[in-house]
Amino acid sequence: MGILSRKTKTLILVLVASLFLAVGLVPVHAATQYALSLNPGRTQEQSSPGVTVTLTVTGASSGQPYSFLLLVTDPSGAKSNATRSTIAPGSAFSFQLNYPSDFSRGSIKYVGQYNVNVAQTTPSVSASVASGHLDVGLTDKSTYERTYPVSIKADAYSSNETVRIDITHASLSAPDFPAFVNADPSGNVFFSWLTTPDLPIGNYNVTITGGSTVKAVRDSQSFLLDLTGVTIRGINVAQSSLMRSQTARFSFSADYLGGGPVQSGFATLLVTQPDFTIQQVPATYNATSARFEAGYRIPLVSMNGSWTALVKANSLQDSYGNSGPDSSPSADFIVTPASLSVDLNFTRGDIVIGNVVAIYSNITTPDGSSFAAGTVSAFVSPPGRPIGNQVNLLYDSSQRKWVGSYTVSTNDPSGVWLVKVSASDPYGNSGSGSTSSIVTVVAPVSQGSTLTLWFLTAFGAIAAGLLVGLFLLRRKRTFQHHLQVDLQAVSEEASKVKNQEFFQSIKEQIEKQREGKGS
Amino acid sequence: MVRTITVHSFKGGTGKSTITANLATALAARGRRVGVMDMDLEGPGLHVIFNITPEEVKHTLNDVLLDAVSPDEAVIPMNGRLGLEAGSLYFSPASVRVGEMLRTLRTGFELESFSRAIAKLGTSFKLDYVMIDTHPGIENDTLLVMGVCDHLVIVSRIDQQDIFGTGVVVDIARTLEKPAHLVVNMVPKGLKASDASKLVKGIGHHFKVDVAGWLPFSDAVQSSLSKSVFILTNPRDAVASRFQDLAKQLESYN
Ligand SMILES: Nc1ncnc2c1ncn2[C@@H]1O[C@H](COP(=O)(O)OP(=O)(O)O)[C@@H](O)[C@H]1O
Ligand SMILES: [Mg+2]
Repeated sequence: MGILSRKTKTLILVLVASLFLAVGLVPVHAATQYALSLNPGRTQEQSSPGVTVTLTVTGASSGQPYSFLLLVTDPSGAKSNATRSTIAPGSAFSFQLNYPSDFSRGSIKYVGQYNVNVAQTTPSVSASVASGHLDVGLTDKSTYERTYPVSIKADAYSSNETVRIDITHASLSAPDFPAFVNADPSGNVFFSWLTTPDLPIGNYNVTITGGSTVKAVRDSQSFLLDLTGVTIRGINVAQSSLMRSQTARFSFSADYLGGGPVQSGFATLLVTQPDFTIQQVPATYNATSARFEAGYRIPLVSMNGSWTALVKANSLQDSYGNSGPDSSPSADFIVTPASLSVDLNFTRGDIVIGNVVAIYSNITTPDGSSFAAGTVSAFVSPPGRPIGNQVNLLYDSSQRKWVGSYTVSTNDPSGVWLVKVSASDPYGNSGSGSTSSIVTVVAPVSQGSTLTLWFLTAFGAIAAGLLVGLFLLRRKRTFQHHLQVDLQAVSEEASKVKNQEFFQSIKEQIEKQREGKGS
Repeated sequence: MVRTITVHSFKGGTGKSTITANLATALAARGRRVGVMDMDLEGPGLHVIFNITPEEVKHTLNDVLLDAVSPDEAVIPMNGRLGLEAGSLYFSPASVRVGEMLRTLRTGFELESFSRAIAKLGTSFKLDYVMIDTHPGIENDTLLVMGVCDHLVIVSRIDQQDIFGTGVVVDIARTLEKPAHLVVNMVPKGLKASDASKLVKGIGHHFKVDVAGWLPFSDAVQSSLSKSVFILTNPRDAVASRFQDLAKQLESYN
C-alpha cells in the first residue's frame, strides 16, 4: 500500500508540474491589440444605412471589464461620440456600431474625411488605442468609365429646396450643366448623370449649391472619368454560302460597356480559311445602316469549306479613344469553287476549206470579272463528230477574251456545227458554254487518216473505264462489326465506383454547389 | 462565365490528348479564349503536342491551388508559339495529382477548392472555356474533374472494352448529373462514312448518351507522332475539318 501511494503521489506531482508548464506556455501577458475597421470606407452623403464601425480587441484579459469612447470628427470639425462597455468573454472580443445611428449627434451630411478615434477608459485609460477614417463624397464612386452613370446624393438641404448642380472639367461646364433640381421633402438631393462616350477623360468637379442653404462644408468633390470598352453583339454574314470571287459582306454592331451603341470608328475582322490562313479585313462604321461593315472578295485560289469571321481582339477603336473587345463572337460561312460563265462566238455561213476561223470566248467569274488564268479549250464538232476537235484558247488581255482558231479541213461536213468551250483552273473553278452555227463548207475533199484516230480514242476510253472499275472494286472492301455490350455488367461496374466513399463525397459536394448557386 | 469541358475515356490511348489539343486550338481559332489543363499525370501528353520542354514549366496549377502563385504565373500563353492570331490559348500543366493534393488540404472540400482555382484562372484570363485532359480510368482525380466540369466529353474507340467502359463512364456522369457527349475516335478506315455514323449513333442510343461526332483512324494523325497540333500542321486534311466541326458542336452546348 505504501509503495502504491508513493507512486500515486509522484504521478500527481508530474501532472501538476506539466499543468504548470502548459499554463506557463500560454502568453497571458501579451500586449493587448486593437483594430478599428469601417465598412464601407467610402460612402455618399446620407444618414442611412451608414457605416459599420468594428473594434476588435485581441490579447485581452478574460473576465476583465473594458470600456471605450468612440469619437468621430466630421469635416466641419463637429464631434459626435458613442461609448461601449463589455466584460471580455475571452482573450479576444469585438463589437460593432453604426455611424451615425449609434452616435450622439452623428450625421453624414458633409463631404470630406471623417476621423474616428477610439479611447479606452477601462481597465486602463488611454487617449487613443485605435483610429481610422471614413471618406464621404457626393458621387457613388470616385472613378468612372464613360457610358456609366454618375450617381449623386447630397443631404441636409431644406425640404423641396431648389439646388444647383455643377459639373466641370478643366474649368468648363460639362454638357447639360448647371442643372437645377429640387431636394425631396426630407432635404435629400438625388441626381444621376449618364456619361457619354465622347466626354473628355480626366478629372471632373461636382459642386452643389443650395438656393438658401449654406452648408458649413461646401458640397464639392472631384472624380475621374476614364475610357470605356466595347463588346460585339454578333457578326452577320450576308450570304451563308459564297462562291470564290464573290465578296463576303460582314456587319456587326458594338455596344459600350456601360450600354449604348458604338456609332463611330473602325475595327479589324479576322477572316479565317479552313486551313487557318487569316486575312485581316478592315471594317468601318456606316451611319446609314448603324452597323460596322466590311467586305472581303474571296480569291479564286482560296480554300473551299467552312470559313470563320470574327472581330480581332482590341481592334475596334471609336472616334473618342474607346476600344475593345476582349473577345468576339464568330460567324461561319461556306466557300465553294467558282462556277464560271462562258459566252462564245463562232462564225456562221460559208467557210472555205483551209481557212482559219476564230473562236472568241468571254469567260467571267461569279462576281462578273473576267476569268484570266487557267486552261480554256474549245471543242469544235461538225455534224457526226460528237467528241469534237480540240482547240486551245489563249487569253487576250487587251480584249479580255479567250481566243483560238480552227482550221477547216477537207473532211469537215456542212451542217450544224456545235462548239463547246470548257474553262478550268488548278483550284477547281470551272464552267463551260456552247453554241451552234449553220456552216456550209465550200469544196469537199476525200477522207483519210482520221479513222485511226477514232480507233485510238475509243480504245483509250475503254482502257480508262477498266481502270476506274478496278479502283472501285478495291474500295468496296466491306467492314463488319459485332459488338456486344451487356448493360447489366456496365451498371454493376458503375455501382462499384458509386459505392466508393470519395464518389459519395464528390456527389454531395456537387449538390451543395448547386444549392449554393440556386439560392 | 467560363465553361469547363473535361475530356475523359475509360481506357488509355483513345486520343484524349489529341482531341483536347485540337479542339482547344480550333475553339481559339474561332475567337474563343481557351485554357487547357493537363491532368494526366501518369502519361502527360499535351506538353509534347504543344512543344513545351519541362524546363519551361516554372509553376503549375497545383501552386495556384495552394495560393502560392497567381494564375498568370502557372500558365503558358500559346498564341505566339502556335502562330494563332484569333482567340487566345493558354496551357496549364499540373505537377502532382491534384485530387490527392486537395484531399490532404481539405477533405470534403476538394470540389470547391478546385472549382475556385478554375474560376480564378477563368477570371484572370477572361476565358470562355477551360478544357481538361485526364488520365484514363475512374479514380479520385478523374472523379474530381468529372465533378468540376460543365460538360464531359467521353472518348471511345470501336472496341469491346472501350465501349463497355464508356457505358460505365456514362452511367457515372448521369449520377453526377453532368451532361456527357460521346466522341468515337479511330473509326476503322474501311468503314464507309454513312455506316460509321450509323454505328456511332447506335452506340449513343444504346447508352442513351449524346453523340458529339466521330473521327476516322488517320495515318496522317498517327504519323504526326503527337508532336504538334494536327489541325495546324495539316489544316487541309479531312480530319482537320472534322475537328473543326466538333469544335462548333462544343460551342453549341450551353
Ligand atoms: N484519329 C486518329 N487516328 C490515328 N491515330 C490517332 C487518332 N487519334 C489519336 N491517334 C494517335 O493515338 C495515340 C494516342 O493518342 P493520345 O491522344 O495520346 O491518347 P490518350 O491521351 O487518350 O492517351 C497517339 O499516337 C495519337 O497520335
Ligand atoms: Mg493523354
